[in-house]
Amino acid sequence: MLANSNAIILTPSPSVSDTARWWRAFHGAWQADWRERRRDWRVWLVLGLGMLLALCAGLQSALHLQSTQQARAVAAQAESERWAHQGEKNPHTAAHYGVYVFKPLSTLAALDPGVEKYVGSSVWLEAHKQNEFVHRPALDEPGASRQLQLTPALLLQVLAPIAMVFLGFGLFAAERERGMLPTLRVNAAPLGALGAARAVVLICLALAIALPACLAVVLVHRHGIAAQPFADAGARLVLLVLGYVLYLGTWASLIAAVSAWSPTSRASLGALIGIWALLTLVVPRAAVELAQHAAPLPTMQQFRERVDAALGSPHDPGEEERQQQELLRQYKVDKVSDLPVNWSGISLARGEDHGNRVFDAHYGDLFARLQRQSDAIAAAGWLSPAVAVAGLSGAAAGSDTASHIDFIRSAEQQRRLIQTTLNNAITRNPERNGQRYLGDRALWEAIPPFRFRFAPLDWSLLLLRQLLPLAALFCAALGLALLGVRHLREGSLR
Amino acid sequence: MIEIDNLTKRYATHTAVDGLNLHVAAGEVYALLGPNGAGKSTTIGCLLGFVTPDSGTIRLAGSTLPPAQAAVRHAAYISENVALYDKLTGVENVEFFMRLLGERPSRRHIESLLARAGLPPHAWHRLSQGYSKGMRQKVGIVMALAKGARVLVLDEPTSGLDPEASVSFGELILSLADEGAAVLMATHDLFRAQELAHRCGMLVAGHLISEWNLGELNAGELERNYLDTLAVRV
Repeated sequence: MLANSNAIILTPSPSVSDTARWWRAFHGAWQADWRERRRDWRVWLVLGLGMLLALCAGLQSALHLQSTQQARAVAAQAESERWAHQGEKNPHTAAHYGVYVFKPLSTLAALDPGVEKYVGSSVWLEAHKQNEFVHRPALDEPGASRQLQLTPALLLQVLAPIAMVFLGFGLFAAERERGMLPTLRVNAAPLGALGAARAVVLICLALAIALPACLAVVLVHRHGIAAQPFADAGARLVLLVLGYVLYLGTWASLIAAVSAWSPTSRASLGALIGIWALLTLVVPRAAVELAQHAAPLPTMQQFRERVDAALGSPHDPGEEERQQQELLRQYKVDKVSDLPVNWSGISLARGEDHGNRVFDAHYGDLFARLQRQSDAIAAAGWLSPAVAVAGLSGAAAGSDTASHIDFIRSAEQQRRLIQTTLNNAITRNPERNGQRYLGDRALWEAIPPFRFRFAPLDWSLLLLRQLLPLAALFCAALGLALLGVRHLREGSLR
Repeated sequence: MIEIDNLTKRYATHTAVDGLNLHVAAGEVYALLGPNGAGKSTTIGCLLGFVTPDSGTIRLAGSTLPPAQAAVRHAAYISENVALYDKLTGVENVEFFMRLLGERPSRRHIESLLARAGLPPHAWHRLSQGYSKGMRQKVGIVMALAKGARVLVLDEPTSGLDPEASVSFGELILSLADEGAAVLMATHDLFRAQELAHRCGMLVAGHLISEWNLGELNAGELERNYLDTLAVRV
């Protein structure tokens, strides 16, 4: 037998509480994981590509935000001046002269443009008509840029998870492959702490990928010219950050779970790529298709034809005559021209009321269908965290369909206010000696300028449609990850 | 320290270990010999809680806890190929494992452990991806030391080591035994078993069919006994 020439003292580990041990293990695993990743060129490659894309997305969004805010501010000012300086004219002529109003663009919408590019940014307010929105950036874009709309939101919702998959598929599967599990098990390594530390590193790397985009937008925001159209901008920002952290946390948990259950790194990578494609590409697309099937929308031509048909057929053809006779009796005169009020104004107001009822019915139906579509899509958020976070992100940024409908309603209220003010002015001023009343700048400026502010977030709706599904999916993924850790601790070593 | 009584483990129709009785005392090095498929790895798996036995009892360091929990408290395991994190240095690997154990080791302390285990100083701060097998085994020993384990379980620890590394590794194992550790070593290496172990047992088809006190045998006798036993059994 060999002689013992190298005595070593066996020293038992000092006893520490389980909590302290867990945190020390977490810290150790965190530190070791950072060190390993810092020394791995593949991490730098993924991170570099991701950050480059984020920088492009951020710059694109930030520059678009800046130019759009400037353009809309200039256009709104020009419209305001055009309206105020239109000169003396009959108020109804002014009502047809019309005015454009512009949708305000928030900094958050630069992070997540949502439906902004497709729904139009301005509308012409005129008598008798609720016009469609115009100036849709998507229509002005060349085909190539329609293929890939790179935005910070897309980066976080779609690209960050796949980057996390590439960086984290071996989170536990590699331990199994390199034969580390027996050592970890016999040393009672807190695998939960190990997994949590590595998951947090993954989330940090994913957030680092999106960082350049966020910085570019924040920079433009600081030098921005437009006031934020939110009363609750802070809450929206917090919601956005928490939503994405929860989303990336869901992915980190999912990656840990799949990696823990997979026999090899290759199997883990294959499964995770499949899950990524399913959750970020297939389910969101399928949800949109199913929603369109569940609540189909008329084509714009069909919709316009129905509105025009309804406008052309008054629901009570005798109403005008009865109203005129009642007015003549009220003022005890025989002819309309002897009335102390201008019949034209009253008639125009009645026409507007009829139009308003038609618009309320048709647009109401259209908005209800859009709402049902949004509800159907939100339901898919119980299956896919990408759907849930996209809804949350759009709502927080004020760039979702519901926010746009709010703006349409607000613009329509402004149109009705203009028409009411102008028609009232006509009504108050009957023709004198064949001379029609002419409105002037005082009348034009009596109409308050249009200033849209988004309604505060509806937290109960957000909770029901996005936060609960997202939280539920996070908990489910976390549960799977914990089961995976148990499997590592107690299951087969292979 | 290690008490295995009537251990049996079956896989479907195959009995990997059949009524095994094996005891290793504190300060003793026991070599478990046997051909491939004899049941050595299954025995180690049962001992450390990786495999659930069908019957029998296992006690580590007198503990009545289930093997998995007892192993966590009292045992350290060094496999044929010690797995390390390639992108961490030797010091960082040890630091990582010690932190997982809930400790906060200083660099100096880790370096002193590595020095005692015989890892050359120039390797302490080198990435372990460049380590030889012998260097990895030494880091594995340091991890066992860091845990303060009273039971050491080694699975083919010297397989593939060059003679110098093998001798150096053997000295480390003996020093641990001298400090009171019970060492169970599964190996094919009769020469190293003869050098290191106090006793050895021969496992064939799940049965412990012979046990020898190695102080009473020389290398040639051990090899002859091994081959004779195997020939008779087969």
